[in-house]
Amino acid sequence: MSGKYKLVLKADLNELDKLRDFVKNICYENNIDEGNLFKISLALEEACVNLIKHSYKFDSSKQISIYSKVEKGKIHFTLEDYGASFDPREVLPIEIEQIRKKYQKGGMGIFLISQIMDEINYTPKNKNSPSNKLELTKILE
Amino acid sequence: MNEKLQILKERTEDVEIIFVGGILDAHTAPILENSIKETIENGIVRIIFNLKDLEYISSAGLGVFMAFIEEIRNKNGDFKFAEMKEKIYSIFELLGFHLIFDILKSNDEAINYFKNNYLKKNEW
Repeated sequence: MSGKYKLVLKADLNELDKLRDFVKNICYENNIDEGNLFKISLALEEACVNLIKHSYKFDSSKQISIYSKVEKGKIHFTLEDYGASFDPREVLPIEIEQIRKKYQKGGMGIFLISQIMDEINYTPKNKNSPSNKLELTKILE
Repeated sequence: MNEKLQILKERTEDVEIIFVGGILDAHTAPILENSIKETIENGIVRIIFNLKDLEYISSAGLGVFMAFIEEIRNKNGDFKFAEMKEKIYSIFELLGFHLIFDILKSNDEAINYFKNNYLKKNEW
């Protein structure tokens, strides 16, 4: 897996601080501004929370590996997990108006990822690869 | 008190101001949820969230407000927000939450909205 930066998280909501620190360090090192840092942290949290809840069902013995690199005005992340496959693109587009109208509690996370990130790719685990890979890319303005 | 999330409450007549500071993420959101539940159980449905010290919010945090808003509006109450930082506002805006909640500059302004019985209607 390519990436200058790597973080391994336990599938536990208590680990989200480590994730924010990881993103903060990458942004500081690459002179990425506060506004982008805030939104990128949020998109990454939403993606990890989905994996913790849906892919791993809160089993904190499981792990998520996160790889990142910054190049040519873009920041890339690859999230790797070994749980149940779930392609977030399958639920897009999310009708955010419906969420507001019905005061729904869920469904906002994937919507936020899609609003913040410019590219979302997903490769489910298969006979050649035991892990699911979610790739998120943001163009830095 | 959780060190990541700080919650302080202040009562003014029938309005409660809840100061929420720190990090409101998937891990800390249940703490705020319980705190709001407690306020509503005490019969208070007019609530101002002062977010001047809130540094971070995710969908789990926003979901907490969504979980109660219908109930308290049915009871003729509302949530108002005061002193929100620009970066927090940008997330409210991304989700269109600025259209369903009153977001005000100060606690006083929010209290006045309640005094004038101005309740935001869902605009759809």
